[in-house]
Amino acid sequence: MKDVADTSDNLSQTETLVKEIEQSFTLLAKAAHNFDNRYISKVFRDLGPLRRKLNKNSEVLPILINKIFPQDYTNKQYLLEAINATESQPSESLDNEALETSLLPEVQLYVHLLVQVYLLDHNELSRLDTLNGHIVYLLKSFNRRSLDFIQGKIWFYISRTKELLNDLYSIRPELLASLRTATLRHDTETTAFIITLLLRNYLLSHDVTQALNLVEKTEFPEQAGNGLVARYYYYLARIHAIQLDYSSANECVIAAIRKAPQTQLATGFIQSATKLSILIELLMGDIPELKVFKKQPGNFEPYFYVTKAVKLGDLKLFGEVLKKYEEFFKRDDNFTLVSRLRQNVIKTGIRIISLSYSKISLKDICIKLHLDSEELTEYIVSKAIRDGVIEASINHQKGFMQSKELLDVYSTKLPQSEFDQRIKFCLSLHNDSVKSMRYPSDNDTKPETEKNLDKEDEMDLLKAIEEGDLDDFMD
Amino acid sequence: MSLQKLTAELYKLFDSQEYEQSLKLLAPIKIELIKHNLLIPLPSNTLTKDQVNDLKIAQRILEIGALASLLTNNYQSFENYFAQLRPFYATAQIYSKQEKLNTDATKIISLYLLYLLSQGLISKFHIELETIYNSSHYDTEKDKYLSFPINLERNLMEGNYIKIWKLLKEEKNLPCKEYTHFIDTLINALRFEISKSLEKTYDSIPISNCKNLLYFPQEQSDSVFETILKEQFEVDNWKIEGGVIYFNRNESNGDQAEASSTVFNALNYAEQIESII
Repeated sequence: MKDVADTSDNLSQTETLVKEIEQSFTLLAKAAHNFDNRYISKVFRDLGPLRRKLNKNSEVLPILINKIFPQDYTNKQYLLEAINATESQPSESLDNEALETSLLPEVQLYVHLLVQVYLLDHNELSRLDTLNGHIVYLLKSFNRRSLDFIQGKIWFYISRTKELLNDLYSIRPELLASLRTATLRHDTETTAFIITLLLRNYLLSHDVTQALNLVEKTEFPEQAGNGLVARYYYYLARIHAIQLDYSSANECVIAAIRKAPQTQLATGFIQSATKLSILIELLMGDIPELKVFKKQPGNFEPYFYVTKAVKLGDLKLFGEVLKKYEEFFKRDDNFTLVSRLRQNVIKTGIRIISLSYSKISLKDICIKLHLDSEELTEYIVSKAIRDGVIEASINHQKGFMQSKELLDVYSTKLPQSEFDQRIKFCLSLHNDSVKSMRYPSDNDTKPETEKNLDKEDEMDLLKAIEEGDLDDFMD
Repeated sequence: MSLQKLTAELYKLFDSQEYEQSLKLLAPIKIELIKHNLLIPLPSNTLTKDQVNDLKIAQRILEIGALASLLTNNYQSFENYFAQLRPFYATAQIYSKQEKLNTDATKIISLYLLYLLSQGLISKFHIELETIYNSSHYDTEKDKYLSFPINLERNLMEGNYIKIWKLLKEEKNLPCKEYTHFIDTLINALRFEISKSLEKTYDSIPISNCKNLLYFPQEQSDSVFETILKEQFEVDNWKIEGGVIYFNRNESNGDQAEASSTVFNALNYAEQIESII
């Protein structure tokens, strides 16, 4: 008895799911007719929960595909093949209107996307890869602005598949070609997606020169979604850090952390961004605050010990930490950055000494920092002075280092420029918010009731946009 | 001439250290390589074992080109050859089957690193390093070729100039003879680094001490020392008087608050606020 109940329960669930997906088709159709991409954002907002439900229920997609696509639709074959289902006769023939909806490119691509996600969740990578071949072909046959959002997402999954298959090179030409198309069509969403995907691809294969070329030669669209901007900044930070341009790297990584959505789904991203940010801060000669390590869940322990070693200026401890956590850093792809910190350990040591003493002999510094000889100390101190780590001078004949008196910062331009920077930030924030406001059009002559309906719609859409496109961070 | 013959001749010339001659021979060889589709490894030409073997020969030819241009002090062409070799080193199919055959890869990479270092191209150096560290082919820490430039850079950044001096001065420390080509440029780069540090650190310093710090021989007369300084390092603000060098530091007063810029900023804010209201 129980089995029967279960099956019937399952059946009804399947039906509701199919209904749910069909409802999103109406939204997609609306987007296509009104040229309003916000409807698509709304569909994507529901994609997360839908994805989890589809994951548990393998019957929905075959039923859906059999139902909505007519018999002679060429893509039907391979879609069904991909999810290992057989073609079945539709029980009722579709009426004309429904047929028109289901053959909209938006709907077609959305179904493809659903199949992609389903296969990815079930780890059917080789099948997904074959499907992706068809999808790329299909993508090229369309040129509609209302597809931009879906297209970007589809490229994301195509690239992700290749990454999981450990085949980073073969996808590049396709990505580059579609980047060109997307740029020519002013398709900001897809452009942004593909730029981040390419950067990720290059960085995964440690092709920093290529990544750098890409960044220099392309312009990242400003209007792209926050999630994408966050990613872009994160990759930029990595590139700058590898190039030893720490201050730009720091700006980028902070922007990345700020722009990243503050939800559960983005935890992984924020964690790795935070790790990078800790390292960059250390490389710049600053010590990150303790709360950075404790704020989020995640394993920051190795980074904490590295920071400790740098803070104490203890070379021996630093060596031990590096050795102990080598594997860990390599897994995070941060090992080269961490091993660059060695010189900072010495520099912080010198800085601490210069702050505590106004005058100290080179010999004492040598002993304090466990250096080999006084001569070496002189070189290292003078290098530190040149790099601007400390403000001091050396008296060679008498062999001591003398710290310079601290300048009064308020007599300089510094506070002014700092103040200026903050004011500019506030002003640009204001200007951006003004620009992103939406006003109802003046020649609105709709009757009152319809207006109300529109308003509700509008509210819904705004909410969708606010919550944004967070789903990608799940991977 | 066929490719085989040309290659054989190239090997012979290179072994007998006729580097100029081998460089001349390389141009026709490269044209032959292009004709046989062997100049660049592609997924399409690394399928069979024969193709991979052919590509290995192509790699060896390019390596000879790189070494020969280095030994004839032609750095530009060394860089070009390295760029051509890069895809060979990145292609796994070629690499996996030649572990024992050819160990010149790390040698050439390390020479390239050294070249970048001697030119002061530190950020390029690190980009290259990132690729090497993360490639599974090389054991970076243990490879005697690769560890040399890496150590050098580390010491240079730390300011550990004594160690560098010792490394460079003793020829037996060098893993191979090609390195000697960089010694002079590296020593010059080292002295340049030191002199830049000196002028920031001291107000004045006796000439003899300065010679010591820059690793110039003490016997060298002061006037010769002075001309070397003026010619090789940018020491416009060094003044030599009575056996002592004074460093002129014209501290810029640009940091002081300037009235005009403040006024300009304030006006700008006012304009913005007006538009808000």
